[in-house]
Amino acid sequence: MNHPLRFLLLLLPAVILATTSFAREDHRAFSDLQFEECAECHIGEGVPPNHGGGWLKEHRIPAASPSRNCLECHGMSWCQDCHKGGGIQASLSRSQWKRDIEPESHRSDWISIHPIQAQSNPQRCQRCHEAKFCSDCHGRLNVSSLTIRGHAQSGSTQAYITAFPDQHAAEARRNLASCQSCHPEGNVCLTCHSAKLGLRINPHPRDFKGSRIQSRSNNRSCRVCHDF
Amino acid sequence: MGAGAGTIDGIRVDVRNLGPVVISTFGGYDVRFAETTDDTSSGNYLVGASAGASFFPGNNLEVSYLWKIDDGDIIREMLGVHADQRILGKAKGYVDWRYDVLHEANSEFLTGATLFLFPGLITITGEYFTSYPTFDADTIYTAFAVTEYWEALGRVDYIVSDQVTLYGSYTHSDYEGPTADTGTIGIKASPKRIANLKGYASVDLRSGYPGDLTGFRISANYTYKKTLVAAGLTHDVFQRDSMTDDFTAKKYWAGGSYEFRKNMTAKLRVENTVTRQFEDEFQGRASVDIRF
Repeated sequence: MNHPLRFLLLLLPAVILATTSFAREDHRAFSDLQFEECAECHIGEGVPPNHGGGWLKEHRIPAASPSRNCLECHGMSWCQDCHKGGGIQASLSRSQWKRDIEPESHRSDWISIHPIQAQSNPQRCQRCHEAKFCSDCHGRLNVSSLTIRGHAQSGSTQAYITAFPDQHAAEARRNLASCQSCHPEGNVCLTCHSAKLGLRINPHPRDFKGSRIQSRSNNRSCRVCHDF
Repeated sequence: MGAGAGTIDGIRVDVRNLGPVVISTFGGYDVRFAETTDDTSSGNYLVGASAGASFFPGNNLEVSYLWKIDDGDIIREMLGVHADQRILGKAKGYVDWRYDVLHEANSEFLTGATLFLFPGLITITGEYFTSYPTFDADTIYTAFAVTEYWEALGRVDYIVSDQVTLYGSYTHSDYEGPTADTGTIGIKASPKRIANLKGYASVDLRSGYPGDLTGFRISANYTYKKTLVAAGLTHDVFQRDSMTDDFTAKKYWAGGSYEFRKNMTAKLRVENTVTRQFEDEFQGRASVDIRF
C-alpha cells in the first residue's frame, strides 16, 4: 500500500469523528415548537433561550455564523419580510406601508421618526435599503420648508455653509448618507469640493488611500472631480 | 455571510460534506429595490464566497469575501471574519469584523461576550461595536471623509418563570463629539390561568444626538385551535432634531388568522395611526399564505 493511501486511511477515523461529533443536529423536526419548548433541551447546555428580548440586533451574529440553522425553522421569505418588505410570511405584528411590510424596528410614525434611527448608526439603513430607496422619496421634499440643522440657519444653505463651515463639515462627516438621500449624485458638493473648479476644498479623509478605488472602479468616481 | 449580505437573482452553492468545513459561494444579479420600483439592472452583480469551520466543540470560524460589480467595475470589495466560541457552557465570546478592501479601512467591528449565570435563568451580554461608513465606488461620496461611530451595549435576559421573561438593555452611542443613550426594558408573559395567551410590552428611552424618543409598545395574541387573534398599541413621543418640537404618534392595530391547512393560512390586520400629519390613518391587509 503506498504512502498517500496509508496517510488517508489513517486520517479517515478523524474525519468520521469530526463529521459525526461536530455535525449540527438537524432542527427541522422541531420547527413547529414554541421557544419555551426549545429551552427545555437547551437550558442544560448553557444555551440561553434563543430569540431573546434583543433579537432584533442580536440575530445578526447567529445568522452570520457558519453553523447557522435559521433555514431549518424559517423560510427565506421570513428574512425577506423584514429586510426587503416582502410581505410573504409577514406576522400580524408587522405593519405595512404602501407595498412594504415593515419590521418592528419601524415604529408608529416612521416617516417622522426615521431620521433619528437613520442618523443613529449610519450603516443601519443599508442592511435593507439601497441609496435610491431614500433618494426616491427625499427628492420629492419641499426643500424650502426644511427645518433641520445645517440648512436653515441663515435662510439659505449657501449663507449657512460659509458662515458656519465647521458645522456643515462635522454634520456631513457624521452622516454622509443623509446628505446622499437628498443629493444622490453629490452635484451640489462639487461647488466647493471639486479639484477642477470652485473653492477646491479637499473632501478626502487625512489618511485617504485612493489607489484601489481608482484601479478597481476604473477611476469612475475620481474623474468627476479630477482630470486624468 | 460575514463580509456582507444581499439579495440576488442567481445561484448559491453550499458544500457541507467536508467534515467540519462548510464552503459557500453565490453570484447573480444584485437585486435592488427603490421606493416603488425594482431597480435591478443587468450590469449589477453580487458575488461572494465563504469558508467556515467548527474545529472543536462550541467553536465557529468563517472567512468570507464579497464583490459588488457595476458595469464591469468593482464598486465594493469586502472581507469578513467571524469567530465565536462557547466556553464550558457558561459563556460565549464572539467577534465579527468587516474590512473594506477598496477603502483599506475597517468598515465594522463587533465584539461581545455572553455569560449564562444560573443557566436557564439569567443571561448577561456585553458588546462593543464600531462603524466607519463607506460608500460604493460609483458615487463621489466614496472619497469623502466620514467619522467613526461606536457604541457599547449591555443587556440582561432574566427568565423569572415558565410564564415570565424580563429583559433590559442600555446602549451608549458616540459620534466623535455628540453622544446618545438608549435604554429598553421589556417583558414577555404567558398567564398560567389562560392557556395560549401571550403578552409583550416594552419601553424605549433615547436621549441625545440626533434626537430624543420615549415610547412603549404593547401587544398580545391568543391562539385557539387553528385561530389566532392579536392586537397591539405603539405610543411614541419624539423630538427629531434640536430645532424641532416634541411630537406624539400612536398606532393601534388588531388582526387575526385562521389555518385552513398546515400550508395555508388566511390573515387579516387593520391599523390606525395618529400622527402630526393625520388625525386618523387607516390601513388594512388581508392575505392568504400558501406554502409549497
